[in-house]
Amino acid sequence: MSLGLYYYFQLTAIFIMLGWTLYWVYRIGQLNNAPIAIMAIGAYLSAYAVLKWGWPFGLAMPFAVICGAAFALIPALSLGRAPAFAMVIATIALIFIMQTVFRNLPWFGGSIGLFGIPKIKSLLWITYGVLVFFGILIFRFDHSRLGRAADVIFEDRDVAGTLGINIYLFSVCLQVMTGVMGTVAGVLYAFTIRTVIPVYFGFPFLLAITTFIFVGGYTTMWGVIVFTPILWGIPIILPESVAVYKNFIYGILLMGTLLLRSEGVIDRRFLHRLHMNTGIMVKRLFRGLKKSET
Amino acid sequence: MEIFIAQLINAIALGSVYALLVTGFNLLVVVGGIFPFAYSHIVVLSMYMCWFAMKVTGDNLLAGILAGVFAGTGFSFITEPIFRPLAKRGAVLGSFIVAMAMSLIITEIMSQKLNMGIVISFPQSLQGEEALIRFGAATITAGQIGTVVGSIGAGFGFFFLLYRTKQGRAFRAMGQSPFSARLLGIPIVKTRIYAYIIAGLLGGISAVFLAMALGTASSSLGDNLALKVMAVAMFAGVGNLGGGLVAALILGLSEGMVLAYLPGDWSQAIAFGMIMVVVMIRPKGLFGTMA
Repeated sequence: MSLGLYYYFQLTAIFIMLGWTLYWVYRIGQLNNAPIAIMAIGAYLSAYAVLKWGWPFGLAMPFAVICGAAFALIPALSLGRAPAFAMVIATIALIFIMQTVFRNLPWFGGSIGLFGIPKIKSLLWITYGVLVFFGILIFRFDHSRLGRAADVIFEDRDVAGTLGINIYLFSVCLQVMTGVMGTVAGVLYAFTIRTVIPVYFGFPFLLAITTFIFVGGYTTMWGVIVFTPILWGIPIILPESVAVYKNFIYGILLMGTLLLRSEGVIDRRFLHRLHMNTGIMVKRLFRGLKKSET
Repeated sequence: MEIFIAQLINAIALGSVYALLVTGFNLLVVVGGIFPFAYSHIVVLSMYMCWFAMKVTGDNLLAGILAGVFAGTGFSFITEPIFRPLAKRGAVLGSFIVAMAMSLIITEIMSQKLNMGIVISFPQSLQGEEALIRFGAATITAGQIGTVVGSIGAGFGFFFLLYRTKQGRAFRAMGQSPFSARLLGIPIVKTRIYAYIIAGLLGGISAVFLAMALGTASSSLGDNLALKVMAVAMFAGVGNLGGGLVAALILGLSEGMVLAYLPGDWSQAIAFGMIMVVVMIRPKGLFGTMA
């Protein structure tokens, strides 16, 4: 596999994971950007453990994940009850705080960051294994009682409360879970790029992930899977003179999608219709096969 | 002591511009029914227009000021139809995402097309760097006095409009309840358009004062300002017009003091750390979310 293709597959998987972190908390109507900040923690701590303490990747990853989960709990406990806006702004603020902290702490290399992270041979397999694991986890969540509870919270918080759903606990748990996902994404990102600098985990990164999820569709987990490879791949396919306008294209797509199709391209209705059409096609296929047999 | 005075003067000048920006931002939140993340980007684009007008007219001060003010008003006005459907269906988070997309587009235009992405520097005639008052080594420049006086003047003008005119009553009624405002015969769309124009006007004036206070502008300034404005709004309570003024001055002062007394670039972390603490203790801001 060429190096370009390796990076494409690897980063696509990481971006899908990050898209899911936003999607998962948005299931209850909260836009939590903290996973991007926690991703930075995962990337920096794992890189530091490997470079400075000489730990193997297998040990550095769980260490970073535990630290990331513990860190995710702090804002989660206080933001669980916060209004949607407060969460958006506070978590964006968290991204900037983490960037500033890493830029100013000499142990983490300041603005230069950490570099020379060793190459992991089977990283692509690990990344896709983790991606499938998180995918199954979210799919099972969506199709369980918890998923239905999340739907009720999204539609009407008062009704959800009346039905006995503990919205605060729900929000805290989802924030910590997405924090763990963000940390894992951060570790994988660090070992893919093999350099960690504060600029990577900033606002433009958040904007790109937001585009992937809101263009793809934020009401299902499939929108991110389909649209991340497309949107992330567009600038690679386009000629360089056009590719420099990547953010412009993202902005137009994001704005157009939200104005014309408010729930994104792959929404629940789209999935329902797809499911129905696939069912009809399979039935027709079977009928045709039976007729040819008789 | 002289450093403290110099930083205090700087902080008051910057804080007064933040106050003006937050007032425009809050007006769009309360009356426009949206979360205008791209408002600060429009202000920075207006700064570019101010710079361009001065460059074309050979550093004509009046041309620069008028270009900045008109650009702010015009750009804000043309965004209204984009946000109208979102405001109509009460999709506030949706409006935040659309505004984020808009900010992405504006930043891209500034970084790719305007001055080839290079940082712009405003002429000395606009910055007003001549010292008018001296305290030892610390000085108060004409630009700083102009910024503070101008911001206070614009702020007074806005609050006069808000509390002493019929249009201001319509704004406040919309802020309380658009539904009730409609029942009372207030034209919703027209009032929103006026809110965009006035917010744009405040943005345009802020653009000129920012050009005076900072002396330079770049494409990344939009994101930076947007986060600070949101932070101030959050600190005071989103939509709280009076609280925004106080919070803006607090942010300006704390930033100035951090820059003066802490090593490294900690000013952003301190400002946003304050926001985190306020959100954690009082999720609706220090002064609540009243219109």
